Amino acid sequence: MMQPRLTRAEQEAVDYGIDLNLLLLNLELTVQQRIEQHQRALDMVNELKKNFDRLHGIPPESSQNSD
Amino acid sequence: MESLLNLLKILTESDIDFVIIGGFAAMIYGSSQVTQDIDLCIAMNPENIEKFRKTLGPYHPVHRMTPQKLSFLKHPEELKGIKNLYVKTDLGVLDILGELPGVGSYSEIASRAIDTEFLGHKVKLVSIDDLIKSKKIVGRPKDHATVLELNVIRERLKK
Repeated sequence: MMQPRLTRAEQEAVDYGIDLNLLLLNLELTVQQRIEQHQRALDMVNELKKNFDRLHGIPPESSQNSD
Repeated sequence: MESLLNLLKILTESDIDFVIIGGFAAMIYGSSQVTQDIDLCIAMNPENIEKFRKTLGPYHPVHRMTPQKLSFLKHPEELKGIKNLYVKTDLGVLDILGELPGVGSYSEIASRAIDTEFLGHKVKLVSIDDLIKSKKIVGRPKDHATVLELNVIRERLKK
């Protein structure tokens, strides 16, 4: 099957390793759904981080970061 | 329990005027990057800071950059001349900026912002052009990835 030709922006994103399909799936969601999906992802990241810290004896506060 | 979703909910239910900026704004546009905080741009004046104190009060806000984690409800006493506030609450981290360096003041950012909706409340979202500009200025590797995603999203928005 013929793949649609990528725009320059799309090609740059793909070349950098961005999952274009994942990005386009996000665009199909409503704002509310994107925020809820992000919260689920963040909960999972924080849970994994907490488990990692616990296993390696890292105090909870020292592993926090933000944008 | 930490929840940026709930943090945004209480902010949208307050009477504070703000524009969502940063990684959280990128995520609302559709970026797949996960961010640990909410960044807002506001008119930084004593009245607005008091509004934040009232809204965030039940969630034990502290200045996250201070080693002693000073209470945001008590410090600083003088509210004039503040440029940015970096606050940690029970619900998550909230960074409040009076301007976006290299992009513009709150009034400039707000004049170009777009309206979106969350849980029935109108919220202002930084324009995608301002967001891309600010991410390019910050320039970390993760910002570069976000810029590349936002470039694709901007193209799609124009279609």
